[in-house]
Amino acid sequence: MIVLEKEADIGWGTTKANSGIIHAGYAGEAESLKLRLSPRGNKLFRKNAQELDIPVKKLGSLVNANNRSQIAELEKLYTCGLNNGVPNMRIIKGNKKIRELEPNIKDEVCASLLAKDACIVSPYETVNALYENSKANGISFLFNNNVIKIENNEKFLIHTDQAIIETEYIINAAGLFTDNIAAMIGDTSFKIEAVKGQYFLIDKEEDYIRHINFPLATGKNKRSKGILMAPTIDGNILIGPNYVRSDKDDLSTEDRNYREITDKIGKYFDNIPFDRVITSFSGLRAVSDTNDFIISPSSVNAKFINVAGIQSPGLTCIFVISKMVVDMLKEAGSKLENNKKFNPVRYGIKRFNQNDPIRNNVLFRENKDYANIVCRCEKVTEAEVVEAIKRGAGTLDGIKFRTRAGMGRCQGGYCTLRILKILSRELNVPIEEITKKGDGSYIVGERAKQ
Amino acid sequence: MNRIKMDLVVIGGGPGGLAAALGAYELGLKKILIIERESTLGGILPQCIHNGFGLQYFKKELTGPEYAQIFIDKIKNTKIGTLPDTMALSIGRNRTITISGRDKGIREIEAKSIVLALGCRERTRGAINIPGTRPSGIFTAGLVQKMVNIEGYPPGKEIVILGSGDIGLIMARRLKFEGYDVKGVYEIMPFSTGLKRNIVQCLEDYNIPLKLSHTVTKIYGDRRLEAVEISEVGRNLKPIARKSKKITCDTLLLSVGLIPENELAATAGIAIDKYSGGPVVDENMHTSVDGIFACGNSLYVNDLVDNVTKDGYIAAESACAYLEGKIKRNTKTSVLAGDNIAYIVPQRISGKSDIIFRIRAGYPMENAYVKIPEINFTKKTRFVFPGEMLFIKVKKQYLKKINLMNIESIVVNIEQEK
Repeated sequence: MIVLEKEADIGWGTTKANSGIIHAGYAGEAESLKLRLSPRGNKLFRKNAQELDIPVKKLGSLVNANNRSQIAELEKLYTCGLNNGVPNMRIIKGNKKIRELEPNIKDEVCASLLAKDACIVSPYETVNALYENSKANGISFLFNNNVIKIENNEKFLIHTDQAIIETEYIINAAGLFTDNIAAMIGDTSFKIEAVKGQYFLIDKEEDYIRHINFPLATGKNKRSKGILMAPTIDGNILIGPNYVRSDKDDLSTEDRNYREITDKIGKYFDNIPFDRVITSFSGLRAVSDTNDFIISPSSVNAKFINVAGIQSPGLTCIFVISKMVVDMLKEAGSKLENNKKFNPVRYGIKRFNQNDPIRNNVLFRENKDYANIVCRCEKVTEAEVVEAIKRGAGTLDGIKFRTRAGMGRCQGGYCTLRILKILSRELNVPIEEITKKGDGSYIVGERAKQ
Repeated sequence: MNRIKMDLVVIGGGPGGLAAALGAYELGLKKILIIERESTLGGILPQCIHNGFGLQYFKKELTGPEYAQIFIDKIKNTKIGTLPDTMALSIGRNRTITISGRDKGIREIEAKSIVLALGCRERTRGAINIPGTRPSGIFTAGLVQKMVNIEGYPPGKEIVILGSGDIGLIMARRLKFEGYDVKGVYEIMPFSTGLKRNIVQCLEDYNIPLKLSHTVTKIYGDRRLEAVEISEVGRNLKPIARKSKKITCDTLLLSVGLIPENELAATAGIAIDKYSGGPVVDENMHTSVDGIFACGNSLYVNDLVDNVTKDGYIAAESACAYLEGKIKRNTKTSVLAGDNIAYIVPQRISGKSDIIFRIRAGYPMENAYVKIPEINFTKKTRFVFPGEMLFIKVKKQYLKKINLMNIESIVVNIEQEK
């Protein structure tokens, strides 16, 4: 088994700008896969996260109504959740009671649907864990390989810009580009549209917000869950995303999005610390023309399985989807058997910032780098950076998404040079060759000719 | 964890911290320790290889490394302890500092007194919300200064600088020296916040254009920066859409402001002034927590290192007086920033001694007066300018009134002559 990836590292497509929510499963069109898979997805994610050492916080989500006329709509959502088997939900009425849960909610918010099983996770740490566990179980990865052609013969012949690979089965999980990849074997049964969403990330702010907060989506806004505000697993505040049709390669942020997001979230919360914004970024949703997940063998060749249109709640459903795909592979004739040697356990990088001083001192005695802090904002040590490199990071962003170095309030002002040097030393390449995110994104330039 | 016990711990080995440690040593204090997260002392000075330092304090023109070395050499001849490559993580009860470093691991230090000289950090693209893509090639100016001057790493070839603060101006000249194409310095305000001498010596002397009322409104480039969109802004500082143009470049330097770095101060529960960004202090640089003093750029962002040195010595004197039981925190009277004042330090005064107010003006003003109505104080200052800190001495005979009349707060204003 081999995974082909056009970027230099894992999870740099739609995953990189994901809200990191494990949804409870009350939202979505009736009978849609998105709705049906979510409650089981939520449970399976939480179970597997333990084995994979992915930190999960069960904060619960609130869908907030700021107008009495919306309460009926909120009740519909509640009923939808009940019918879908979502446990631990209730509707809270009255601003005072909601304020007990969310101290900074606006006076106008009069009812909320609380779903206690909704969780926050780090989307990066999720893919880091899956990548490391896959590698440990013998799966290969080929990075910087962009698929340009697939020959659909007795076996498939995949041409990338770097290699040719023969295979019997293909799982098409190319995110925004699943339709382009499917079209390579003549499957034009679906189209993927890119829908951009911009986020704000705000500095760590103790107890400003406690739950995952959604506005109640009404009317034409129903296609997305609206602009959420939630704590991140690392204690920041995340606000976004909005919903703007876009090009598949356009990850730019825009001024009008700032205004839209601040206006919209301002209808639900007071005292939002916008003066402490660390950064803003955009992600692209892979939206299929059915507006649902497409998880099925291709009509052209059943050995080619499409996993497309995986927008929200895609992260919630990853483990359910993978089970479905395995069944489809079996159906298509693959003789998959349970691997008795499969090791489901993976350990994350030991984080200085998450340990108590006594534990850190134990680690320090084994390795002095555990006390050398290279990222001041997130308190990341040299040992963590070196470990991230051992686990596959080869770029500044690779380090950032594995250790959080560079994600804090100074945005790399302090750590960039330190990490460049460690990367250069550990990978044994000149500093000029170290990049931010692969080919062409160099950091240290050429010397001027005097 | 075996604890280290100290009379004074200075956190930060930059010019403020060095002066504080030396000052305390010269006053006879014995157990002094400097904690520094870099490998070398001097703070930001070693990367400031241009001259212009020390004109006030030493009455001669020095480079940054030369200025720092004077203090580093003096410290070498004392018994002041130094812990380089060590980061202070938090300050807990009774001034217990948790540190981490490759040398000692994670340890606790009990300090009878502390001087915070934590420095400042640069504002980033995220903080000013420049829209566009997220390629490599966007740096804060100070990071590039370190890359070029300490490490010898060039950032790129075609350079645009946003912000005409001093670091931006200095780096414009520095990169031109190195042979790179410095396309211009753009400033959103209708005036530069940099020192006059830097505008003349760094830009005008090298024919680098300075465009006021202009800012970067878009970033282009997928992998490495390819271009920026520059727009003229109106009086409300909002970009004027039809007055924008795209400029090709591979490097953008941001010199868009400095923020006193006080996350550590916050762990000690120290009150922070949201205008200065630094701790609220009294005339002795005493913060809101007993026995903890502040100086340097973590107190407020200075224009000249000479003033940082002076404040470091004041913090040292105060720490020593505190240890001898001679002073207590003054919480008597609050000093509030009034008209055309961005911030003012100190924010609390006793009224018992002469005070030098350090004032950052909000905008340029000619024929200006500093007025404190509560104590009938007026002083003509001719010209105020946000780029140059205003130091206003108020003699204690004026301040007597705050004790006599029990005045809880005074408002300092900068007003124009009518």
